[in-house]
Amino acid sequence: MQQRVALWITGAFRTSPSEGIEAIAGLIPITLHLRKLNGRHHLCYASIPLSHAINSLLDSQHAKNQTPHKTATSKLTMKQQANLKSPIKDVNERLNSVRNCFNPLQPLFTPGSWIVDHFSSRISFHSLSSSSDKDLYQHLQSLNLAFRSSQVNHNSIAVIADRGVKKSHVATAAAHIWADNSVIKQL
Amino acid sequence: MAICTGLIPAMEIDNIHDITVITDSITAARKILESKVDPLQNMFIPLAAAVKTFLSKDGRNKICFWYCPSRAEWPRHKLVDNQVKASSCIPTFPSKESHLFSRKKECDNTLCEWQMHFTSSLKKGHYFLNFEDEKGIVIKPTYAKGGSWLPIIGFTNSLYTRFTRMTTGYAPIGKYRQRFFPQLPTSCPCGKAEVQTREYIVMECDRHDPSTRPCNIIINSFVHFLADNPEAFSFDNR
Repeated sequence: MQQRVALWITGAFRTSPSEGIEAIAGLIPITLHLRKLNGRHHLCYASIPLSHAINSLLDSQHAKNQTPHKTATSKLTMKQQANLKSPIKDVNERLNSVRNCFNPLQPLFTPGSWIVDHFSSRISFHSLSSSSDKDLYQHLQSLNLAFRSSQVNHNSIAVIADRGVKKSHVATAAAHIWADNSVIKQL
Repeated sequence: MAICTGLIPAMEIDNIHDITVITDSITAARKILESKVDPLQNMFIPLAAAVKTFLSKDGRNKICFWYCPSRAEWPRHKLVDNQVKASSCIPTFPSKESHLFSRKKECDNTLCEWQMHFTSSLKKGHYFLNFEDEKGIVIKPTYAKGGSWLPIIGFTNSLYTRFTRMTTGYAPIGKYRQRFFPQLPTSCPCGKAEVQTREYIVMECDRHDPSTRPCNIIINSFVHFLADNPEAFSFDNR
């Protein structure tokens, strides 16, 4: 199936080796692609709301305080669990190694409480319109002006923040707070 | 995370009404304030709450976010960038992974499996050429941003097609005709080779300018050879 697409992309001969031309065309084998999607699908269960019915089928540690359903994996016998072939079983195993980081019903995140809706006139974003050098130059000119004006006014400050991820997967962050043309705090 | 580090202490300073935040990740700034379900949500909640308190406290309070890419090397941002690069932290190994890291790991594992399989696979073709990049590392397949080969050779359709034919060995040359169409002529049009092989075309054939011949197995050398010799590995090569 993929070979036809790879032939179309590369213009190679019909008899060309499929894996070779698929690699040149940048097409990952479909079996591996499906495996990746399956693995990422298991992670999606971590983001479902607390009240979702699926939660009651998961193990108690992932059920988000819902009462387990009578067919939940925790209520099955060992033999039933061994014979069970369901994505729910895989999800339980996968979520054991993932830290829960979602909080979909947090009050700040509910519609009607969003900061951008309440204070839209007092929050502004100045991003780069395109990656061309000309636009970058103009953007930096505007940034310089904004920074200077923030240093002239005594009620204004500038925060310059940057982050990085090292090869050891350690994320680091630093920030400087500028006022009156000098750094008043390094964090 | 970087914005959290700087903005929360900045909002705690007295008599400040206007804060200009300069960051290389405007996307993170938007995520904090646009309040969507996100894997970094738990990290954003304290900052979002502090921003809400700051803006509610006084009608004059406002926050401006400015994007400053690292490549621009804006001097004051560069100072912070240097501090980040110089900082050294001892990595801790938590018992559980973060959601983002788990997603990345799924992709990395799949890619690693593909690359290992591709290296040892015979289905890529017996004549498949393993090129090296400019650092001398053998090019391995990827699927992001067009793959490993397309961004380097995709200047024109003709060049890309001829490159694919040359790499796989399935090209309108004598060696291919000898295998699939034995009744057709297999010699090189220059008359000096009985069987026109890929190696002969690239390294020996007098029909191509000797100065354009590649002197190593770096992919760019072969791309230049194909670009300088438009008839090589094309159907005009008769």
